[in-house]
Amino acid sequence: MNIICVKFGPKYGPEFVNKLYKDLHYPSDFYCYTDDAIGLHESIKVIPDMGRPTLKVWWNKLRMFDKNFPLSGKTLFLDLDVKVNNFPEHLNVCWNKITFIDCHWKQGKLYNRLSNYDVKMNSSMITWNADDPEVHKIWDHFNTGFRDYYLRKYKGIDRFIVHEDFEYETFNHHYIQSKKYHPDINYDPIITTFEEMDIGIEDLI
Amino acid sequence: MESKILYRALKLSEKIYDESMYGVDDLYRIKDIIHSVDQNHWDSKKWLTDILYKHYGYQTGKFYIAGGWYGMMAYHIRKQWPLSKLNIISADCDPMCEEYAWELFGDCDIDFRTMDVNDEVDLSEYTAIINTSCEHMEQEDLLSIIEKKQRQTWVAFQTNNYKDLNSHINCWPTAQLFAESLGLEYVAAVETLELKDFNRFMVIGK
Repeated sequence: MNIICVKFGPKYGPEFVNKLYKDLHYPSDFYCYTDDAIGLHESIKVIPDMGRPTLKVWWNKLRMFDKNFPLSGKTLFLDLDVKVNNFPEHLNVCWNKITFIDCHWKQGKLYNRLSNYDVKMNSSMITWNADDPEVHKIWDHFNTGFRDYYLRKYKGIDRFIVHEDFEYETFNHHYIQSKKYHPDINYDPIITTFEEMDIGIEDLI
Repeated sequence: MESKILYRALKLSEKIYDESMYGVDDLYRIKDIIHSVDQNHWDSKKWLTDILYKHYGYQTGKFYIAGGWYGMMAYHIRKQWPLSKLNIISADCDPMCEEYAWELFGDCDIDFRTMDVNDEVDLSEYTAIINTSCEHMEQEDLLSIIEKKQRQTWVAFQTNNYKDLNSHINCWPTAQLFAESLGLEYVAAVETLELKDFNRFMVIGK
């Protein structure tokens, strides 16, 4: 299984990548897709910025779904601001379909409004098969004449994927804790996410 | 801003809302169209038109507007150059821009088209190339436009320093630096329009 993170822009330094790499210490190829590889652990495999189209910050995550992206097979992505708790060596996920986090903690009618572009999934953790043509369609769909419109319309890739009607699976709820929305839990999640919260490296320890 | 344009934008918004009830749900278009006719965009397009008019010096020609969005730039050009001897093509890669531009400015003798800046457009036939969306475009593509145009063809480009939007991939800190990046043989105007939250920059030359 490939493990990958994406680091673009100055918000998260190399220490976040190195921390993720050390927390996921079982044998896997660990990749970082980045515009700046300075300071990364020498065992991390760097995938340099693939260039056009120029994308900013989190929109670069979509590039992982490009059929020309240099990965093959089962792939796990983690955001740099997730805390790794007890990550299993073998994830029990459906590798036949791209899989995201189900934000089951987001409750209320607000999320069902037609004009509400917030969504009940997030992409802090994603699994997919990098050879899956259905996944490549996400990147292809983004790179039409509508790309600039999507960048204005959607705040990030989660909303793009949901509202452009791509199908996906979601992880078991007990895999994930949202520190922001679900601070008190009675299970042992494999990762903790910090949606929109300002965090430092100390919060991930 | 003219009430005729605002009225058409309102009617178009109504149509998009109706479509969202029974067909394609794309309510964000309403916000996008309203944004396209706001005072900032009106002022910055008028600003370009006024200064280009001073330098261009003819009533005839063929203008190509890249990244023409819903057609406001083309409309200002047509107002300043009312004769049909000046041919105006307004192009955008978003197909919906063409459809909605015809609804907003369909009676203004403007040819709205769906074209990408990377498409093989023969720029040698144009007497001016206008692009007020440079902040959305790759610098490489701007330079390619300049390389492909005739030596005597005018360019009028605008960008800004508003880096906070994810769609703004080619902002510049000053008008002067933007002008230098384009490497034009002749520069007629390098200007800054100070807006409330950011500055808009314009370079006109050949």
